[in-house]
Amino acid sequence: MRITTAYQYERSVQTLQTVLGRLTQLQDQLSTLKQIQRPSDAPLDSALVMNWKAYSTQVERWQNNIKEVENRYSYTEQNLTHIKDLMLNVRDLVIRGGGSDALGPEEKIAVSRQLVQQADEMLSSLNAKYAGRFVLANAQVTKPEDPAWKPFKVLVQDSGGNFTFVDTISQAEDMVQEDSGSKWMVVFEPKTFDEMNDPSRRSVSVEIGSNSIIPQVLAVEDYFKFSGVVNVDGINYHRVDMFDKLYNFSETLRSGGSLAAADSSGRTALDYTDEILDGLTDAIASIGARVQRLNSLDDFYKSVSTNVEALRSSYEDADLARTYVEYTKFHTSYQSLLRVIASITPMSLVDYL
Amino acid sequence: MIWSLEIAKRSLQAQMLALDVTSHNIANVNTPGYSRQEAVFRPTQPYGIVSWLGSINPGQVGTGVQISNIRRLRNDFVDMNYRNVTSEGSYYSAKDQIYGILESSINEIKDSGLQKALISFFDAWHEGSVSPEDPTVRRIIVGQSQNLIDAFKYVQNQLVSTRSDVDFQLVNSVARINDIGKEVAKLNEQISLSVSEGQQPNDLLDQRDSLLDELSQYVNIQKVVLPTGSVSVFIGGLSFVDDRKVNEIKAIDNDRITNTGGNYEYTEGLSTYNVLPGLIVDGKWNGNVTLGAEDVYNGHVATLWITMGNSIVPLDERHLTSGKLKGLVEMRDDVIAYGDEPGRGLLAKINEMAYYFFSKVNLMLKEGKDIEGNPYSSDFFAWNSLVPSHNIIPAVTLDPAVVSDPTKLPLGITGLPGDGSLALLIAQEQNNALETVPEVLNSTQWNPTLPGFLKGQSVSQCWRTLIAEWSSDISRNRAFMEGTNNVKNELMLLRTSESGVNLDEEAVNLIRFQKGYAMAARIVSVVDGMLDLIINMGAR
Repeated sequence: MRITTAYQYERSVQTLQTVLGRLTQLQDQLSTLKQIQRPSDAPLDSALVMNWKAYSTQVERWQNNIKEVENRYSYTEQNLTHIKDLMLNVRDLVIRGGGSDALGPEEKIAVSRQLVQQADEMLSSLNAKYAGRFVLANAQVTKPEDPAWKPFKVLVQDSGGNFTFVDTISQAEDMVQEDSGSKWMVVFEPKTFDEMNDPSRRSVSVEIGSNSIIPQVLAVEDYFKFSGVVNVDGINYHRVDMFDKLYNFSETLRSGGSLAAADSSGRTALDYTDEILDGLTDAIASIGARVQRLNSLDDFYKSVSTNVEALRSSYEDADLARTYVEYTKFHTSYQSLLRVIASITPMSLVDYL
Repeated sequence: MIWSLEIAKRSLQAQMLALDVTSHNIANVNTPGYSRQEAVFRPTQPYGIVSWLGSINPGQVGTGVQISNIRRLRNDFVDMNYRNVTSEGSYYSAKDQIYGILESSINEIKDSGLQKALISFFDAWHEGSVSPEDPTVRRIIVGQSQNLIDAFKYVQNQLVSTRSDVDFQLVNSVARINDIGKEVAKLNEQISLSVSEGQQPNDLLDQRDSLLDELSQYVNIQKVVLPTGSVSVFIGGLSFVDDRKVNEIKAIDNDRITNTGGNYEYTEGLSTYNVLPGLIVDGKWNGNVTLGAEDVYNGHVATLWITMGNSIVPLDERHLTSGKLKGLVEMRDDVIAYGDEPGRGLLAKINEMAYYFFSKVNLMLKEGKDIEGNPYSSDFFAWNSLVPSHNIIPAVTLDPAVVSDPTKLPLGITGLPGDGSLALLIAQEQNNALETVPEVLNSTQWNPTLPGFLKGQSVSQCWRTLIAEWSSDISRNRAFMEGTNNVKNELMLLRTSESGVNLDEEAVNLIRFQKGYAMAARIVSVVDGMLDLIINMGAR
């Protein structure tokens, strides 16, 4: 092949362009720490990276939801434990109120008052809020238009059969004492998402996995027994059995009776108290199991997240050591190329004439 | 003896002329498109001498040298291949350049863009399912929905504005092509005049070849050399330069071509051009651009035609097989706007994608209730129903009632404050195929006839697929471009090897012709001496 002056220059420029192009590419990779600068650099890898990024965000969302639900469950568990502690106090009072006939009427009234105080404290725990939401509330977790609204309410039925809502059980107890034919009860105003076909969505639910949802607020009926329905102004309220029992204990003591006496079904106040305590223990254990399950799911997602991130990184991120070695290689090649061009191009026969 | 002086004179002239050619070569060592020239030495006509020595015939006597021709060293075969490859390379380069612009503005590998907007959109609805009664969350959902619309609009604007730029490039390219055609026709005239006078117009031929090289960047050309030295240039079989006449290419806005009862015509000033019948199919130029009506995305775009007297013929994919023009047309109409194949028709596809996704979300939200329990009957993503599905993005807005009061956003089916069931269903659409009937709808309410590219994919997957197909196309185009450029570079080197000037070679020639000249001068000196001897013989 005949080599011409233009050939030499063209060839030099072409080679310079090739090496410079590669150098620039490596420089971009080193400055951004990414080996893929744009999707067309590696279409398949880019598509995978985009998929993993989307999946990673989703996993992150599930992890957040799990944390949120876990916190809520833990708070619910704490409240139920507190209620159980109060119930243990009630048990002591029941033993005191039934275990000795030596209690005079005044002392029985005092025990009755203590029972009412425990009940008031329990009610306060039932209406506890976490992050602005009632922890035991089914679907109606808050009522923005009525800040005073609570899912568990105290209702007094007077001797005429009329209902009045009051704020505390102590208040209700005072009213009952004034009107001998009246009684108080604690009712729950339930709301469920009956419209949904899926029963698992009867309460506020969140997604914790691909098409896997979990109730965020636990369904009250799963943990408390209801003893009947009371209709007030067209709304059905469910009587909370636990408080009916507490009312009966208080009423028995107030009227001078003994809590040791068995009722028509042959069961004593202590039997009922233990039954409530068993229910609460079961509920706490059940929530604990759920929290544990969420913990293990969270651990699983942590490892998924790490794996996905590692995969994404292996495709998207630059291998710094390798890229730097490659850069150095091309840099050296560029320098030697410049030296060669500089030494070849000035040479001419004219210099030797 | 006197004749020897004549031979020496002829040699002096020939060496001088050869030296001129060498100087011309050296002077043009860096001139692009210059072809090395070579003085071809040929002995002049000899004469036979009459023998006075009986029957012996010593033969003919030479009469010296002359330059028979100044040869231009050029290889037509390499030229033809070089132009073909240039045309191919320009096609891929034009596409690569536009792909580059688009890819830098729609770079989905970075943590921005439509993919990010879709992720944030679904994440906001997820949050809505967790805390539906939270006014901040509702604001975030509205904000992310607006962000999603903006992201769609950004992509649409980038595509539409790039399409305008491509159209502008197309019109400018046509102007340059016509200029080249006129220059070639003018050179044809000068060359044929020189040839008719028996001259070899090497530099004019170089100029014409350079113009043809440039022309081959724009379009695929075929060259036919006429006996007069002129060339005729064809573009995909259509005559562009016919000796000294140019059939101009016209870039005419599609809406300026009028349909006159099945025939098409175009009026420019006082001239009316008729489109040769039977060449337009379905009223579209090149199968994509509708004639006599507004273009869906850009209002109007240039269509290409070649004139034939009072008629015009569409210069489309039937004739454009390579070159920048083909690349520009393909990018503008096929890749960006209307194409069906994978990685093509981005504008149409992204609009269809938005249309079906927004329609589905709208239908789902109509099954919900706002925070006060009121049914939601508006379109959350609103647009004028007259807008076609393949161009809804510019028309989409968010329901103003929800924007001003997010409590009206239906996040649940019951409308109770804690009910985020509908928000959850919408969040789950992140992975649900668009044709899947959501829990809140039935198959009568949602039974879309999806285009093939959307089937079996969620909106996010569809966008990722589009990007993957598109980037594969870019990558493939780049590979072809690099391959073609390598061949082009090799051919250029081959051409340089054949036609380029080597300064060392020319330096050797300089010495060669200088020595030849010196020796011829020496002959004059010797003959002069001999003549002097004879002339002064009697004087002694």
